[in-house]
Amino acid sequence: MDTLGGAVAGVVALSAGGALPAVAVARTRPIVVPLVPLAGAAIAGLAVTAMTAVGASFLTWYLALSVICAATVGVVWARWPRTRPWDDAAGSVGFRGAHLVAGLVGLGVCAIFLGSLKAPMTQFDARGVWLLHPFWYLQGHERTVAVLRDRGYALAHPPYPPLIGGSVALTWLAAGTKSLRLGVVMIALLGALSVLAAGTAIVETATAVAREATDVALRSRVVSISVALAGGVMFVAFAAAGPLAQAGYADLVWASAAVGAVAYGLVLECTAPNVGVAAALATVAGLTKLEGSIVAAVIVGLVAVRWYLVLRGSGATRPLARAVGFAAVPWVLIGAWPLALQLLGAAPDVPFQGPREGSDATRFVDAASGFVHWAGTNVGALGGALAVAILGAVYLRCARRAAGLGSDLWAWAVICVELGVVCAAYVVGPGVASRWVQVSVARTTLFAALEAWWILTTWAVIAAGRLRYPHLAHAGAGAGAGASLGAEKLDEPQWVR
Amino acid sequence: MSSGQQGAGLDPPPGHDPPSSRRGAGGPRRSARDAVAVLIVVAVAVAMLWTVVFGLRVTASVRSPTNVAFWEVDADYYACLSGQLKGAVRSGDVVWTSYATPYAPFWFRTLWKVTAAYTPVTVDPRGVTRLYLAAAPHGEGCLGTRLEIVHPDGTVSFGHGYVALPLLKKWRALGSPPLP
Repeated sequence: MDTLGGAVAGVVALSAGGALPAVAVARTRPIVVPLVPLAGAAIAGLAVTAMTAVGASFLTWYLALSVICAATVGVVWARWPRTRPWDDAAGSVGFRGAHLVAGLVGLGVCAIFLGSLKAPMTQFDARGVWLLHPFWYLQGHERTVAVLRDRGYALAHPPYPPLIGGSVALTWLAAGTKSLRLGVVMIALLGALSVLAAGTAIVETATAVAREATDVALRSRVVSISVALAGGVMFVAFAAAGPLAQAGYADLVWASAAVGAVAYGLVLECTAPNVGVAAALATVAGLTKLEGSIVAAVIVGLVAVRWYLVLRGSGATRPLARAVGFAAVPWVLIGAWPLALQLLGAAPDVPFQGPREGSDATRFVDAASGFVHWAGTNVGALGGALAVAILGAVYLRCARRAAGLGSDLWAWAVICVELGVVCAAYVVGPGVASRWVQVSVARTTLFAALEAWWILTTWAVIAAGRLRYPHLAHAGAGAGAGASLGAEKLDEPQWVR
Repeated sequence: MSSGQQGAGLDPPPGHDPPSSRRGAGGPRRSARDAVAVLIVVAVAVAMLWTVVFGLRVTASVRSPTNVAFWEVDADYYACLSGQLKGAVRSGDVVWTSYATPYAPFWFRTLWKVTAAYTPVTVDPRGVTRLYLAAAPHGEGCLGTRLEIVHPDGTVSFGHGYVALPLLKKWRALGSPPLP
């Protein structure tokens, strides 16, 4: 089977496992399109975890977990009919034309950047890390465990989370060939799907803003601008990731999935479908890379806090138990792999970089200067987003509230956690900090940069709702009229919505 | 959402504005908000456009014939090494690999990356098959290198297989660059 056919077989195999869980979570909304194969990829990652921890083959576990997920969805739909996608209007969205156009624009953007696959790039980490794992997974439990316990394999980071390796392994099984080229193409496709998933949230944001307008012309203006902005932010995601996104690196996969999780869970209105999508995307991010696991766990925790506040505010029964119950599922899924590594006695991930050099202070300086020198565009995006976020918070925050969107302080909190984790790793980690930062910081700050761009785009969508239509601007009059302190008191629970 | 704000007398529902709230009657604060809205949309659009243009230029360079040729050579080089390995070592045999790569000091654990996918690799060279990358005669083999196998009994053999001549010429035309 050629590479294109193999990629199609891989996407079909992933979609077969992920279809029902994704539809159960996202229902009939546009996000379901990228979420179906991404959910399958998450199941593939969990299959690797189960195979490594328990035994049996990877394929056996993938099939078993797919059946278990499908059966669970069937039980839920039978027990709670309102959760069925065909019975539930809450899970669907208006502005279907806009979503369709945005989807086509998104596919066009993905096609342009996936055109880079014309060059059969297989960069260092692809060959030395991501494409070695599926070989081991397909050789079975004993080989995988042996590699995990052997420090001689440290170069290949065997403890990295298993979503990429599992997805590539499943693709190779479906295609009948263990082609490195096919593996790279599948990683690039997973990245494109994650970007598409995050992009759909921009259009959902736009529909929330547009719903507040009674003027049809204004609605279509807001949605049109937002479709363009959604295409633009997807373009930016690929541009920020650079050629590595098509060369077998996994950073774009987790970073975009995490951005989508923040968008659905912490920005868009706090509803069960949105929270479910956020949990699914956070699980994808958490099963892809180490820093993704930490960030995804934090995102899930924040979504649970927001969910709790909304449930409590609406008078729902047992809000704390429901919020904790929501968070427990993705936390368990993300935590299963590191727990299995601990129980199996896997070798730690870091020692191959050599002995540690420098003090904490000098390493911090090296890291900070490396951020500016080697990830300047990412830092620039953060600076721009901060400036726009301050302007937006001062002048447009009531328009944001009126659209039912959450504060972007949530997103900034996640960015701070991610940058803190990355910086701490450089400071307390092994080897020479400056060299480590040089080769990795553009990738480790990718999530922060994409999230910054998402913040920028969200404010631009909100601002688009005010362009030359001052009657809508009246929604923000209170906060801007010097009475904002009183408004903040009265609206205290609303900033988290 | 805005009901609480209405209750505070701060925020009438959208679309139900009194005539005094129309443009021209809103005062400097509203003008500032409108200006900020325009500024944000324009600034984000310009920044996006600049980044998109940059991204498209990068994509164009990635798709350039020179870059495509480089990566085709890279893929064939590794496929050549993998072919030599599979012809000389059985899958499952424990081996030790050298990290050195002739003519290419910047290559990093080339042979290890090829071998680790195929068969168990150990860091202890005693009592196992040892694998090296050696210079191939006349610059042939896999772009001038070939696999040297030192068996546990001390006998030495070499891998067979080479990159196709057109690719070898393509690589030399590129200036024989090191591969990642």
